[in-house]
Amino acid sequence: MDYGQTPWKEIAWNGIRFMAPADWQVGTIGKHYLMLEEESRPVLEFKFKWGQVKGAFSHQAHLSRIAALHKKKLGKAVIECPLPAEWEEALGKYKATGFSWQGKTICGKGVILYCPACQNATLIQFYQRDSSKTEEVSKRLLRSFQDHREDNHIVWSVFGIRATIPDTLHLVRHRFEAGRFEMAFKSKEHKVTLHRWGPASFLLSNQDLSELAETMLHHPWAEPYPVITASNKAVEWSLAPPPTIWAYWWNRIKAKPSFQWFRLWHLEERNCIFGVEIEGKRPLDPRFLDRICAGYESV
Amino acid sequence: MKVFKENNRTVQLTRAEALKCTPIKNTEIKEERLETGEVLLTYPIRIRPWVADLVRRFGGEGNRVQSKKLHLDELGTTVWDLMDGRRSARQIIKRFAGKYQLHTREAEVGVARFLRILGKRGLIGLK
Repeated sequence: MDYGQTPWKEIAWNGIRFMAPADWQVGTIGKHYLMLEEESRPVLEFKFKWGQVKGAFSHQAHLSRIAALHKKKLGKAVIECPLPAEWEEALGKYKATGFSWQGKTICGKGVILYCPACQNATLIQFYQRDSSKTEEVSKRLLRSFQDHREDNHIVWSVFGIRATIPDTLHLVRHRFEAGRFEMAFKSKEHKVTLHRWGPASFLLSNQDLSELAETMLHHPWAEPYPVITASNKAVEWSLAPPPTIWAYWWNRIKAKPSFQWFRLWHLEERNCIFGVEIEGKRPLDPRFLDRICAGYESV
Repeated sequence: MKVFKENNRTVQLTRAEALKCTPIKNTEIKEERLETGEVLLTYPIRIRPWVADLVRRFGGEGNRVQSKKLHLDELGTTVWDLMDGRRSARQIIKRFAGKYQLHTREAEVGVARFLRILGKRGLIGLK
């Protein structure tokens, strides 16, 4: 396959971000793990520790750990090798150590990265059946690789959805099932859940957005009210305790957040339904709600 | 001498191999198109002889072959219609994903699960 001709797409997950050929699909996803596949075969693997590396980072220790793991699982020896000049150029701002291994039908080539600016460590490993094909793609992919942003936001872009979320919110749960995606984030103040349902033409064939929300979320929501957004059909709910002194103190004591807000909108051109659910113990800032919704889109 | 008999193990296909296979409909199935456009499938099931015997004793017909119905919804009907005996599972998934604007991986999970259910009921086979 000529990767120069095929379109590329952005993949972003839990702080890391890169461009990959559009044919490469996310096969396995974990909080700190990504495995990309092409025609159901693994092509690229990412493992990363985001903001977790304390003190000095030892490339050698990590390399010997990978070597031991490969030896145990695959019976193959991992050897340290110098980085190709193009990789070195693409990964200039990182401290990088290259490695490779050779199997009967498949070989691997990878790099362990450490970013001194954000203290993130990443392991990137390309599975190569035909090394000449992966050379060109690896160069472009590594050039686009980023492990942090300067604007205190994290981009999440997988399976056709893209969200820009403040970095104070950490991923606590994710679920990607046929017809239903869900990503839940939590910070000290808020709990944010992003939903995506599809196909909308099927889900809304005999119910409207409000009815769908009730069946999907099972929340004791107040009466929904329609809202006008730029171009989409949307409904919104909000729940807040009465402004009495007793309600204020009860809200401070109880574990469950009292302020809840939910928006659901139908993206007709993409045949899907998006939902944002925000909960907090203090009154929710409408600008924060709008910012989360504006940064949540279909790609 | 083997003391224990080895279990009969079914052939496990890899994901890539399964996607290359072509689903074929069982010829014994009766297909009825409803007014809504959805499909109602009627397929034969063979009941165990002792169950048939028991039914006969209690005054039933006790036929060993009985029929069962399966009502497919809009999505199931789409996949059913895409199975023409020539398209591979991968092609069906691509068409399905295109029609409903789903992500390919998402469509793959949904269609594969549906095909597995049809296969378990004996409604389709893989070529």
